[in-house]
Amino acid sequence: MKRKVFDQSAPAIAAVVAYCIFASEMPRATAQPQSITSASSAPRQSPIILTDVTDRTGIDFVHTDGSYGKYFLVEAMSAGLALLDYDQDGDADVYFLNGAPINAKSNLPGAVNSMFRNDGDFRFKQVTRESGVGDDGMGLGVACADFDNDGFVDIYVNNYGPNVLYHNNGDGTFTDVTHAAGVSNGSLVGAGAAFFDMEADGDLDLYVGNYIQFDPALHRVHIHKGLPSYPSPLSFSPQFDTLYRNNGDGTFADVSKESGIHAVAGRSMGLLAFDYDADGDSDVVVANDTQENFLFENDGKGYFTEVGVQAGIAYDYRGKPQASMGVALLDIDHNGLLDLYFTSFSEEFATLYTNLGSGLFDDATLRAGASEATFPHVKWGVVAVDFDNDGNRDLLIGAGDLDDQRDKRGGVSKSTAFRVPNVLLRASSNGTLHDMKHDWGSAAQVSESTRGLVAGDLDNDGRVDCIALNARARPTVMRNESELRPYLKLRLIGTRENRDGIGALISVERGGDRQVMQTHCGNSYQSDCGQEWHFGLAPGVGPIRISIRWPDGSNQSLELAAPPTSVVKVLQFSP
Amino acid sequence: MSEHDPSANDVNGSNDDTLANSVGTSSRMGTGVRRPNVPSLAVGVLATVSLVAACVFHWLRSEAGKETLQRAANGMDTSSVNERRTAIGQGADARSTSANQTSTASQTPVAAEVTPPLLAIPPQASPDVLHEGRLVADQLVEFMPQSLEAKEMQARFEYEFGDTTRARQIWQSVIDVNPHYVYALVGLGDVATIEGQLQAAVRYYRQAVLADPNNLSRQVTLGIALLHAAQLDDAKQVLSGVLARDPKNVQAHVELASVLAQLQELEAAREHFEIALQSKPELAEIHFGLINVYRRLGNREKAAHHQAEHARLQKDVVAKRERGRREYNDDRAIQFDVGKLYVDMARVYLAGGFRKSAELLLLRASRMEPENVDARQALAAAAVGQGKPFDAIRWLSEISELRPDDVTFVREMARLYCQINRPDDAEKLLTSFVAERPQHLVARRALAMFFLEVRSQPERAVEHAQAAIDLSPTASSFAMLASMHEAAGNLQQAIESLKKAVELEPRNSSYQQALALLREGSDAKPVQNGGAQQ
Repeated sequence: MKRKVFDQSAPAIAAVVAYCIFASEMPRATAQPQSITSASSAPRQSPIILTDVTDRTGIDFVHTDGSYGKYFLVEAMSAGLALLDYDQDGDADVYFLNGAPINAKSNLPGAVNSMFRNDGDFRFKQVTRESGVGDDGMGLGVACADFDNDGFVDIYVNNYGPNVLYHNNGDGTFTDVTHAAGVSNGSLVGAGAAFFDMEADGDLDLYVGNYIQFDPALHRVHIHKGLPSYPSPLSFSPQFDTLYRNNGDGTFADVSKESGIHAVAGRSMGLLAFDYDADGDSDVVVANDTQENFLFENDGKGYFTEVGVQAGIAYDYRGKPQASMGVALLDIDHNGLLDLYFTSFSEEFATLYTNLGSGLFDDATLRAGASEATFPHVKWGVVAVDFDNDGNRDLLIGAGDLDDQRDKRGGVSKSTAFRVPNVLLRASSNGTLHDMKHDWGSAAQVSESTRGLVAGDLDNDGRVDCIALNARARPTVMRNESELRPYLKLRLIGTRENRDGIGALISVERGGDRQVMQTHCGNSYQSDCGQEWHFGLAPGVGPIRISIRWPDGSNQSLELAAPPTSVVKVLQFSP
Repeated sequence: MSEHDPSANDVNGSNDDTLANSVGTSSRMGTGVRRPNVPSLAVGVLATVSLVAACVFHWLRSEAGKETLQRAANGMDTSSVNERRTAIGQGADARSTSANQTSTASQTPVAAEVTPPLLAIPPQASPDVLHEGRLVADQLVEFMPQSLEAKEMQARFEYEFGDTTRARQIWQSVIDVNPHYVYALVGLGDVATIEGQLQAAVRYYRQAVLADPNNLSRQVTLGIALLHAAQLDDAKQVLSGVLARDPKNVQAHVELASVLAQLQELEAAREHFEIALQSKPELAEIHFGLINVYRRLGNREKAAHHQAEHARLQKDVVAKRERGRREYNDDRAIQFDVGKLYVDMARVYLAGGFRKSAELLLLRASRMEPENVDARQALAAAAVGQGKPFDAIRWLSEISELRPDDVTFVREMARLYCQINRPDDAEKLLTSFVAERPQHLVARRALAMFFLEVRSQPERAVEHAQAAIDLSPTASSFAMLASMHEAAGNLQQAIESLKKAVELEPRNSSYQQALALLREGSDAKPVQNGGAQQ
């Protein structure tokens, strides 16, 4: 039985606002919100400016994939990263995954996952050792959420090899609780991961993507154009994903088989959970490499049926499987239905699937425009965020060939090399995209081989910033210096369900414009952008109406007279 | 990254399991690179030879037959029923459409023979193979600097195995000389595509179509490029134009359906997918297209049907693709592909008058890749041209071992045996082939014709013609049987057979005329095997 996305018969707005905390937490002294340009009903196009500020951040992380000339495919896939406010000081900290040598006798010294605490004003401090999250496995994917509802965000690392669940102790430190929780997931090759509440019982379950059935003993180096190269994912059999049900006592149960997830095997990469058919539960979409994407439809009780083909997201518009990498959620056409954007390999478009309703998607890539901009690149992370606060979610796409020998083979361009600039597509209110080429600030000039990509307001100035994890290199920290315009940042606090409110559907309306987003964990390329939800408000005037449908089906509404200048925390109403 | 998708089953139905498709693509799916119609010298050459065989032995003795054989040996035949796909052939096409053509291989003065820079020991490892290949490609241009075909070879080598930027430069230099040189235009379009310059690719492909307007497959390529470039209305127009000229073009139907679906013209999209499905019911992409259009049209039942079909077909596709990946061998793939290119380079040498060089290159190609049929075909054709039928038979024999079920080469060997007055060997070849494959229709027909035309044994010819009818009771089979009966003096049986042919194809006037002649009791003209296709 389908439910309406928002119950129009919900109680009158302000009456149901039980707790709406307009957070007084301000950024640190140097990060006062800027004065906001007056909203106008017809937003003008202002430049999007992302400035590369990596050098001044204090982030000295350097990613390694552990490679040593053996060309293991897993190396090339490398890693994601996460934004999380682990110390609850009101700003987003960053957690980088790192690689490790495969089939080697010893790890690289110092090559561990790294946590950097955000001290404000784009200054970060390395706190890996004191926080205790420096796993030295072959890190691939990461998801962050408060799995035990204690109010502190925890970290799940999806490795090649045993995975790790770090429990946040609430004092700036973490404890490895993997074995107690029962989520190590054997020695599989990991990918993306996501916490979500599959049966709306109030605690977060865990979907773990697995890439391929990989055996180093069967590996062989391939040769392409006379130089060594990585094998194709098709050289390896697909792997089943893993689904863990949260038992509510700090432990999880592997329900992969009985949940229906094991009906199909894939080559998972990025993934996320959202309610694709607006029936009130969270389904799971999985970007698969070199094969059809999966969409696991949830029956509301935690049993899943794979419906990717009939929903129309399995293949591209010509019926071809893509080498999908990352995935992002957005409502590009403002029709109240959540669309999907997948990144993919070179000579494939990054693909936009617009949601037609009734559980059906349409590949609208060509009609949306700017498809040409994504065609030559190998594309990985992707974030759908409103950089210029014009009410439309733009798309920043991480790019870079997976093969470090690519350049030596000749014929590479600035789109097809191992290290290339990332791609920014600006969205318009009519659902079209425009390639910003290299005209979006100094970050557009950075050539790296980006994998994971996350977005968040790192300096709490109302503009969404970004961090890219670059393979075999330092990350790129991008400060958003676009014109500051009205915005809304929400953080949900569940009381009758998961503390992060993951799975809630948010609708923001102002002046006739409506934006929707479902809160989710895990996205982009095997990454996690955290639980702060940002909406640009420039196109509208007047009060801001916010509606939230919580995962348990309850609705909550509130109204703001004017755009706030800091994060709005919404506590779930308790009747 | 070298990617190979041996299961790539395109809508042309070319289920290309060769390793050839695997090299030179950066696509993970192995479908990224659209080769500029990989030239196949011997296809053109031996197509002629096959034609000769198709017309069977009595034709052999004619002057026309001798002339065609000579052309085949020279590799310059223009009467092939197949599209000429080679660079030289394309150059010839381009010449015919351009008054500005200034350089052709045939205009290159014959110079002293050159020795291709082949390594003393055939290389095995792919870096060595590529090193040698580049030397050969570069030398080709060095010795034939005015030859656009030589440059085309060099560009193609770079495109497939080396530096696409260099390939683009070479192709551009060709275009500077002859703006209508189709393969250079296609090559530039391909380079533009992989660089993401989709609008530029459209421009190049469009120029290629203008230069060679009768090539429909190239127009389909243009249609796809327009689709990629989101020029949907233009794509619709181009693909519709292809279908106006070739209503059975499956690929055009599928691509047009995709365009129409993008234009939200769902009913029209459905129609074209359905037409394509009639010809290619096993193509998963068509079913996927129909899933989408039927669901959007609200026909869930039909959508479910095609979803089930798609799932069934997709299992095979996936299994095949994964098996191909596991069996993929980089060195072998490179040898295979470079070997194929050597065949085309040899053709350029041949056209330039460097026959010895061509043969050396063909020999290397045949040794580099034991299954290089093209090289052996070309060597056989060259041997025929030089009046060395035994050499030709040897090469054809090797091909026959590689393709034991293909009667074409057996038939050609038989023809050559006949030419050198060794009909017993010809008979032995054909009869042993038929004995091992009694259900082989074409072989039966060939044997029937052999007994009729070479052995003058119409009774035995009738025996095999009757067997051919048992296998395929078509009008042409009955017409052939009629000719055998007539030769055997069994006029009444000949008439009965021809009546069957007329029944099956009442609109075939040649059958009717032959029947009328027979009925008039005329013995002046033998029954022609009107319309019979081998």
